[in-house]
Amino acid sequence: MYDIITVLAAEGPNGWFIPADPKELYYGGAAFLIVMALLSWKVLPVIKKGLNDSQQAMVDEGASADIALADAQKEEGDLRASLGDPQAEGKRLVAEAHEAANQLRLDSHAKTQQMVNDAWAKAQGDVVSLKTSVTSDLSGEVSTKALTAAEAIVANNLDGPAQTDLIEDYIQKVASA
Amino acid sequence: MSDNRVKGYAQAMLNVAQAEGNVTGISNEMFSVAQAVSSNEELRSTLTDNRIPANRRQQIVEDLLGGKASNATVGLVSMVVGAGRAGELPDIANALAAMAANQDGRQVATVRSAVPLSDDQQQRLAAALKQNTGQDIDLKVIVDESVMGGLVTTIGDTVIDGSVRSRLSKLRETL
Repeated sequence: MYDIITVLAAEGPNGWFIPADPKELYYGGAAFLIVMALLSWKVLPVIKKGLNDSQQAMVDEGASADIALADAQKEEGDLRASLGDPQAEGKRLVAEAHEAANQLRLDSHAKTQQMVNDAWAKAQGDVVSLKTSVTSDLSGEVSTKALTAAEAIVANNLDGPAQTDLIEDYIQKVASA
Repeated sequence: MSDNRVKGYAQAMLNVAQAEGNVTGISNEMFSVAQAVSSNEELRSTLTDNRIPANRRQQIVEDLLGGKASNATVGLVSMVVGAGRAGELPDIANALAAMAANQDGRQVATVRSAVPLSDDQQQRLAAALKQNTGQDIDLKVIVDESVMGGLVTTIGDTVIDGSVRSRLSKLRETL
């Protein structure tokens, strides 16, 4: 190998491939080896670690996707379970609506009946009260008219002799008391 | 007017009546004047109206009573009206009558009647009341048409009501 290089170097006037001084090859090879060693020592672990991290991230993302998929599937299952049979659910809702409407009707009827009963009782009480009041007023009016008539009759009959009789009667009662 | 003031006026009048030697006459006249003032709304409102000058009110009294009552009575009534106490004249007259009666050992009996009582009726009523109370009675008769008929006698705190009005009132209460 060295011979060939030496020959080539001797035959050619410093060509583009073979340097004029063969030692350059040695230096270049040594430098190359040094660079490669440095790369293997420092850079390659960094690159390897980066690749490993990237790979781990991809694995983690895959796991997260699996978990999300599992959650979605579970939620789907829950939703389907909650929905159950749509027709049966619809019938149930309609039945509930009917029941609520029926209860409302019953409540309304009872309330109306109670209002009617209260109004009837109040009306009866008012009638009794009004009857009592009218009777009392009428009685008072009759009494007033009777007294007015009595006073008028008495006043008309209280002439001189009647006054004298009343006074004499009074004197006799005082004297005999 | 307070009782003390009424009694004070009545006592002053009694002193004047005693000085005049006419206690019974002045007492009776004062009682009659007081009843007239009580029963006549126009006269009462005129004599108690403080917007009318006192001398004008006194002049009204003298014009009304002149020649109908003793000068002492006219003067006493004029004094009360001039002092602005015309509204209390009935109370003063009643107190004077009671004082005058007590002085002689008598008791005043106020009798309300729808018609005037004759002297004979008054004497017999006074005798009947004396029989009940044991005291001589000084009868004061007031004609009050609201009584309608019969009599209402008041002696002190005792009321003997035999009026038609009270009977009708009882009838009203019964009805």
